[in-house]
Amino acid sequence: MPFELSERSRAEIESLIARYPTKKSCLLLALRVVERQQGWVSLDGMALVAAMLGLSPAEVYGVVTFYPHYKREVHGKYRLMVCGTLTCALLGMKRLVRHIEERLGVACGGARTADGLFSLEKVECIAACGGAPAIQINDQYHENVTPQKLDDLIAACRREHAAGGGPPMPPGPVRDEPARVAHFLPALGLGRVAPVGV
Amino acid sequence: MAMATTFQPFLTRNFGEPLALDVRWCLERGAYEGARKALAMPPKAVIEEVKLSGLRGRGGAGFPCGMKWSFVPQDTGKPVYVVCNADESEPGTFKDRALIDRDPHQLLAGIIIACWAVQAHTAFIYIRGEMVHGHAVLEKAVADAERAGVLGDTVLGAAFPLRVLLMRGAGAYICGEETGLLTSLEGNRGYPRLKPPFPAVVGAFGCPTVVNNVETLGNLPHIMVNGARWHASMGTEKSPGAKVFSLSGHVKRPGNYEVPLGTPLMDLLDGPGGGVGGTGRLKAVIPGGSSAPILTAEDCKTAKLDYESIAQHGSMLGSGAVIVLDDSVCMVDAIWNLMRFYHHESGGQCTPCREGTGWVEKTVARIEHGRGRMRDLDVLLETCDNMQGKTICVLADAAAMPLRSYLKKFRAEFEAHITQGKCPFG
Ligand SMILES: Cc1cc2nc3c(=O)[nH]c(=O)nc-3n(C[C@H](O)[C@H](O)[C@H](O)COP(=O)(O)O)c2cc1C
Ligand code: SF4
Ligand code: FES
Repeated sequence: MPFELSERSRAEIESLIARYPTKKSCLLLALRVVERQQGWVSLDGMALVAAMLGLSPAEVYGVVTFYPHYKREVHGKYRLMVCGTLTCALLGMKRLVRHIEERLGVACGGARTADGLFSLEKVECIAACGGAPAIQINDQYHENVTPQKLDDLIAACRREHAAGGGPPMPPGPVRDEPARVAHFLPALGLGRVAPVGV
Repeated sequence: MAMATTFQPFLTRNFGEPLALDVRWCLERGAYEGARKALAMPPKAVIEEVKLSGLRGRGGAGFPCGMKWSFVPQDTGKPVYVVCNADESEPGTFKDRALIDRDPHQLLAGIIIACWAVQAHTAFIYIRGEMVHGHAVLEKAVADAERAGVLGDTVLGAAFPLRVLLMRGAGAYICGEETGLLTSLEGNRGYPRLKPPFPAVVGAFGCPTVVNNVETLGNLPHIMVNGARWHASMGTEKSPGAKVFSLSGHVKRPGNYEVPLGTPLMDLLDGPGGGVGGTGRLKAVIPGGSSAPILTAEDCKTAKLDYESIAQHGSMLGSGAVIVLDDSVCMVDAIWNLMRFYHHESGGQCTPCREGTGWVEKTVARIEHGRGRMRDLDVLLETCDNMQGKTICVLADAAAMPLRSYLKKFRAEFEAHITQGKCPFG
């Protein structure tokens, strides 16, 4: 079933359009509206936002892919973002990453867990260096993280999921994505350029 | 140390106070008195007062705040915008996040003052996407302020309409650079633009725009309440006032500490910081965020935390992020970490930056892994030459400057990696 914007999401984007200087300047925030409703930002979501803001889907796609923080299909329901920058690295992030990799059985920057619950990636300094090593799980910061604390956090995520809570689960890599992305490109006049993998 | 004992922190005074999130409490405590005072003065007089205070931008460049405001033309017929830079992403820096989470009304009061000074009726706060909590805090603070008549069609009873709009970034360091931030604010990929024209003349949506850091704006209410002289009496002649330093790394008590500018670096480290952590033996300090050239333990003995003293020591005060490294740290490994950061964060518009950051990252990685050649050290310096001053924004410089300093001050460590064919630190 293709993604549709809820009444609430639509109203929220309309209210952005009413308040911000240009329609285009609502783009970054409108994508957050999709992200909240859907749990990630899908190509369908991008196309709907493009239509509401009078932009080409290709332009929206170009913006989304510039900004790594938007949650995409490939991420787990719980997206673990570990800070790999200097202070966190000095204070033992490597050991911590190894610990998570072993616990979850997935590589940092690789695929998500088989049940789709977790994905693990390295990010750059998240302005929590005073509490290094620091990690972000979805919207939440966690500072002074230890292996024990991580085990507790992972267990808490599992409990929340088992109780039917937490954000919607992203579908995982969508197999036909390159072909679908190709549909976005003609709007930019790039129709002749076949994306890698098609 | 006499200064440190009499100094009363003002920017961080509400940090332990949960009520600071309550607009009523803030109004009772006079959080908006500085804004009220400014609104009763002619805008030009406010600019003069801030000029007189000597306040310099806290986002990294240290540019005089009042002077920046005075560049805003008032005769273009276009709206003027104020943009608060809350993208805080310079590695080591975590003060703006605290200033937002713990005292949002101090920031809003500063924004009112800046907007009145340059006659802007719309202000934006561009907050980095990761700071979901800070965004929620600001959303509430703005809504509360509107309900309390602090923002909106009238500001604190003055016939001066002002709206504060929030924008969220989404994980790109380059959106902290002011022109990248403006491009992003307009709904694009965050590509920096050539200067001139400077944002003060052609900024957001083609209109005159002032971009100020969170901490810069946070100083304004205090300057308006206590006067320019009070501000100028703190710190040093060329670096007046106080600053919040983000202390991290190998230090016993990391955290945000507000001290007068000009405080000896070691007083911060040994005083509030509790002394060197880790092995307890100091090797080096990054005094102003990851793009600041490195200081050796020897440099640290005489370095003071003000713009001039740090510059005399060959580095920069930048954002005030002080990262402490103990003697277990491999300097090649440390700079590799940072070069990886800059390569990752290069916006990719300029060849010297996009390719240069990639080359230096790879070369430093090779040296760290014991596969470097002596010639690589010269190649690195040549690459720095080709990166600095040749790009649209200064991200390329921000990568080249620290690399150069590590090569200069810790050259023996690079050479040891090469001659031993491995990292001596294991
Ligand atoms: C690569 C780069 C990243 C920057 N990141 C930030 C940032 O995260 N926050 C900030 O306030 N200023 C940042 N700056 C500085 C801004 O460009 C700008 O000078 C500052 O926001 C001006 O405000 P101020 O005068 O109040 O300091 C950055 C600059 C560069 C070149
Ligand atoms: S110097 Fe780097 S970050 Fe700055 S505009 Fe050029 S490519 Fe982008
Ligand atoms: S270095 Fe990890 S939060 Fe700053």
